[in-house]
Formats: sequence, structure tokens, C-alpha cells
Amino acid sequence: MRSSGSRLALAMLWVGVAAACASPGVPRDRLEGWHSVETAGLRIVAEATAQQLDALASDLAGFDAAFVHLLGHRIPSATPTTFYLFGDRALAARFQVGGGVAGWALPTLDGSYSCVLLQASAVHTRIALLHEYMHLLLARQRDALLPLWYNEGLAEYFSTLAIRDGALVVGSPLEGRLEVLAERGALPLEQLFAGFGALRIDRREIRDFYATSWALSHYLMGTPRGRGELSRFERQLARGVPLDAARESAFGRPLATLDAELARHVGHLLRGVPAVLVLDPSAIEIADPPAPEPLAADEVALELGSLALAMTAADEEREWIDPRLPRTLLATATATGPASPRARAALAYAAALAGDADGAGAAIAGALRDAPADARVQRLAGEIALASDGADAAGQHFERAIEIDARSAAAWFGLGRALERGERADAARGAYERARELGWSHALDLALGRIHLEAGRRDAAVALLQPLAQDPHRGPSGEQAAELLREAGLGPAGGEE
Amino acid sequence: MRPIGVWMALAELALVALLSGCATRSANTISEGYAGASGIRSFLLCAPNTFLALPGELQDGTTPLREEIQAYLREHGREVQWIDLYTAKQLWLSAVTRAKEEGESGNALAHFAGELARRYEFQAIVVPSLLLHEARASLGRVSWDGVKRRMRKVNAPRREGIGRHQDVVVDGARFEGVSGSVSVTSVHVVVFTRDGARVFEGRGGLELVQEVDLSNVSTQNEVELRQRGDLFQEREVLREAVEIAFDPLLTPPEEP
Repeated sequence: MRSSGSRLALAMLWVGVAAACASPGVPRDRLEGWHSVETAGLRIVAEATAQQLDALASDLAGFDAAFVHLLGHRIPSATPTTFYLFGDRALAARFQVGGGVAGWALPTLDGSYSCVLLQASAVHTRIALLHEYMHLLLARQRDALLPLWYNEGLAEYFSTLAIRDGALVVGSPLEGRLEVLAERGALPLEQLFAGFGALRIDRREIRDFYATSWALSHYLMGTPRGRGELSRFERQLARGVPLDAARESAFGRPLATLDAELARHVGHLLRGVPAVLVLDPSAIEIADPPAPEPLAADEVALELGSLALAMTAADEEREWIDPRLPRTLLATATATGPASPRARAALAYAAALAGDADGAGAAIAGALRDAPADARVQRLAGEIALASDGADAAGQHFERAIEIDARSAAAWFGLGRALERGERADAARGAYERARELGWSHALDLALGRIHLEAGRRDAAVALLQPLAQDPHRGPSGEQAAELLREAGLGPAGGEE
Repeated sequence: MRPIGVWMALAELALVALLSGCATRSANTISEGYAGASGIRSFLLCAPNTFLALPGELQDGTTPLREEIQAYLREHGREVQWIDLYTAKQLWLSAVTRAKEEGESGNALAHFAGELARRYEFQAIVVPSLLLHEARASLGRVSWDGVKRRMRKVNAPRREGIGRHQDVVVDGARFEGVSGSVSVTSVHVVVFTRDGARVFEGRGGLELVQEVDLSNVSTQNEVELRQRGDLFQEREVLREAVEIAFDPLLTPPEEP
């Protein structure tokens, strides 16, 4: 179990991460044989045959339609969502998939990313894919700072959604979770609700946590009353009610009572009672995905380079991806012909993140000259300026990006950081809050929480920092959030590791 | 409002009444006079796992199973129609509710059968399920519910030779197979009359769920059991399980 380095925390199905490869290059043959498809507003880029990808795209479209049906509306996203499916395990390991991690999801301010390992069993791939998509859907509900058990429990619960035998079936049990519950029983809910801050983190306890999170979600989702309680809990959180108070208000009974109810439910599940929601599928309109398109090697390099860049940019400690990888891949993508200003700007940003300020400056200047009215190019120019401590220049680029696209959460977040560097905390807070109206990321909540804390707005700070601090995988944001809370004397948010 | 859990408890009571033998009984049971099912010309087939939980990992198996049972019944000269899972669940819930209101939860099955009889033409109801359970492997061989299977091994390392270079762990795993508890699937069927009387219950072994991955056997002395990627794709295997599960209600057709 790694204890730091990733902000993929909420999304990991399992723990235990393969070590990164030493070489920054990717063999050319690994960039061949990929396909992509877009369905229901979701892109999938896969190292898979067109037939395999078509089946997975249908599954994803079916899930999307079913979820819209269940919810009664679509949860909108202002930024693109892309899934990357890896077949080759060595390449997957460089993107932190495999070695026990079935998949992960990373919501950022300019797009949502998910990586999933293609497994020998198509159904296991599908379950991992739907689990990660559920995380991304929950991340869009940024008004409510959801606790980990809720996030993981619902992702597990919906991961087995399927249309079979003339019915939409929701909540089929996961055999692995049942095995854990049969062997070790459910965790006491007091422990579950405390999150990982109260647990000594090891693989077995994380399995207990996932199994109990799933079982509790399964129990509550199984009845109108339980669904109402979950909904009330989320609404309370969205109104800013503290976690414990929201839970007490929503469930309205002592934890011991809820513990006993959960134990009975688990007993039913272990005896094979088919506790699933079975709905009429005739009202569900499922989009028919178009045929997957083959991708050329340089297109794959651009896709993977963009993914690697997002991962690198999201992790300031550079511990979970080789920082040379985005630059290498983007250089491959732009080597064979004239590249777009956006691709060159991305390459420039990758160079900046790899520490090559001169190379970055030259490349971004060319991109800005060719596309001065492209908000993304301006934003990346701002990021590059921030990376070289040019707060004023960065602020100008971010402001220009906002002039072009006022709904760019990433540009508002960049502006906030530039203003904070310039010691304009109030203006920075305004920019962060605008960013949070438009999007969500761990780094944004950390930055905004820190500003609240420094200004003495303790409740607002705790609401933002505590969910980060309770992250089981304790990425840099989580560790920094825990540290901030500890320093402010705001409770044992960290705990031992 | 009913407390959460009441419906689950009711569902379990009904489950017990419906499938009393499935968890433990290995031999098929049949009521007197039903062998060969000469009096049954038409069956009503419920969607698989209407009454028994199905792990999410096995959901892809229900359509092939249903299709195989339909084909099998038709090959025995029987008419067969099926009811989808949504309809079956709705009718079952309504039957359980009615039985509960009467204070006789054991009557749920009779109410369910009665409602089906009002809606469909048939002589018997077939309730099939895919079961996931465990069986004992001995050196890679597994026997359960009338079938014998051998565990498939994948990613076997190249054999390095004999004598000093021989690795007995690798060779043992590679040539003999593993021993221990493994996951297997079976087909389970229960047959009821139009008035809800159970006249047959049977099960037939289907497939091993896992295969042995030997990728790490030579470096870490570890074998990994992983779920197979090709479950429920072999028609012959499904057919064998269905034939065993329906024996002796419908015996295999005579060889020409």
C-alpha cells in the first residue's frame, strides 16, 4: 500500500501500485492497435480491437442511460470525460494501473480522466469501468463534500448495473465483497464513518472498508426509506451541515441500531436472497455507439501524452508518474508533421513540468503566436509562467484565457494561484470560489480551504479540508489538508498510517 | 411505513419455501409419476435467478442459460415460453404481499403460480438459476454436480530442464495442477405445477469460474486463480449442465 503520491485516492478499486518504468520512452509498437469511440458524451481510447471496444462502449452507454433514468436527469459536465483502457500490462503500469489497481478516476478542472486495465474477463473490465465512471459522476456533485464510504459504496453498488433478461438490474452483489463479509463481517459503522484517519491502513482493512461501504450502500439503496435517507444526507452536506450532524439528522437513529440493521442485511445477502432493484427497461433510451475508429500511432501518443500531462499536473510531488513521460509522448505526437497550437502548448507545459524552462518558453511562444485567441493555449501559457515563478505574467495569461472563455474553471483556478502568489488573498479567494462554481478538483479544495483557514473561517475550511484529509490513499492534497487541520488544532483528521 | 428489512425477511422466507434443497442437495429429486414428464407439453420458463441472488460477475451467463434451456425443452418436443425478469419479479412481489396480508407467507408460491396460470398457457413452471459455489480441486481436477473438469493453466513458464535446473514447484504447478477450494458454477432448476406444487428439483455442474495463472510461479512460487474470460461461451458445456440438471424429468434423447 502506498501512503502518498496520488490524488486518485477516491477512485482506486484496490491498493498496491506497480512501480513506474525507468525509461521515459514508449515502444512504437505499443502505440499501435488502438481505437477510440465517443458515446453519450464520453470518449473511450482503448488498446483493444474495434469489437472489444464496441462492446464496452455499449455497456457504458447503457449505464449512462440507466443512470439518467434512475436519477431523473443527467448530471452535466462542462469538461470532457475520457476513459483509457490499457491492454499491455507494462504500459498500464506506467499509468498506475495493474498490480492490484483495476482502475482509477481523476476529475480535474479541465477534464475528467479514468484509466482501466483490460482484463481477461470482459465482465471484470466492465465492472471496473462503471465503478470509475460512478466516481466521476459523483465528483460532478461538487456541492456536497461526500465522505469516502459514500463515494466508494455507491461506486461499488452501481458497478454491477446491467440490463439482463428483460430487466434493468441494479445492485447485484460482488462476490469478492461477499467473501470479505462472510469471513470478517461488516466493520462497526463508527469505524466506517471515521474514514481511514482512524484505521491503520493495510490491505485487509481497506478490503473491510470497501466491503462495508458497499454493504451499507446496498442496504440503504434497497428501499425507498433508505434511498430517502441517503438523499437527505447528501442534501444536508450540500447545505454545509457538518458531516456528523448530517449523518445523525439523515439516519435519525443510534449507530448501534444501524449496525444491527446492517448485520441483518448482510446475513440475508450471504444466504443468497436476491436483494436487487429490478426495473422496467423499456423506458430507457440507450444511445447506439458509432463504430470505433482506429487511431494512428501519433494520435495515440497525443492521447497518452495528454493523459500523462494531466496526471503530472495533478501531482505536484511527481511521485506516481515519470515526469518525463508526458514530454516524451507529446514529442512523439508532434514529431511527424505540423502540430496544432494546442499540442505544442501541451508539449511546452510538459517541458516546463520536466524543468526545461527555456524549451517551454520557446515552444509556448510559437503556440501563442499562432493561436492567441485560444483559451487553452493562454491557460497553458499561464501554467508555464507559474512554473517559472512569473506570477504577474501568469495572471495576465489566465485573465486573457478568462476573457476568451469565462467558464474555464482551470483558468479561474490558475488566476487564483497567481493572485495568491502575489499576496492578494481576497482576490485569490474570489477566483477560487468562481472556479469551484464551475468545476472541482482536490487541489482547488486544498487551496480554497487553506485561504479560509488563514482568514479564520474555520468551519468553511474544515468542510473543504476534512474530506481530503480522510482520503485513504493520502495523496499530497490529503496529507497537506491533514497537516493544515492538525496545525490549526481542528481535530485528529490525520491519524496514523 | 414498513421498517427496512421486512421485505428482505419476507423474500428470504419465500426463498426458503421455494428452493429448500438447492443449497445442500446434490442428487436430483422428482415426484412420483413425473419421470419423463409425459404429461407436460408446455413449460413456462422464468428468467434465470429470479429468486436466487446472482453475483454481478456472472450476469453475462443468464441469457446463454435461458437460450440453452429453451432449446433443450424444444428438442424434447415441448412448447416453451419465457417471462422476463421484470414481470416475474413484479408478480412475485405481489404474491408475497398477498400471502403476508393473509398471514401465511408459505402461500406466496401458490399465489405466484396462480397468477401465472391466469396469464399464460402452460403445464409446468421452470425456475432456473445459475449457482456460484465452491468445490474441491485435487491436482487440478474438480468433480461436482455430475461433471468432472480440469482447471486450465495459462502463462506456464518454459520448462528449464531436469536435474539441477529442475524447479519442482514450477513443474508441480505446471504438470499436476493445484489443489484446494475453487469457485464453480452449476445450473439449478426447480419445476412446479400450475398450482405451485414442486415436482422436480435438479442441478448440473457447469463451469470452473477460474483458471490458474502461472505467470509468477517461477519467480515468486505463486499461482494466481483468476476469473476466466470465456465463461458461458461453450454451448456443449452449457448443454451438458442442462441435461444433467433436468435428468430424470427429461432424459437425454435416444441416440439415433
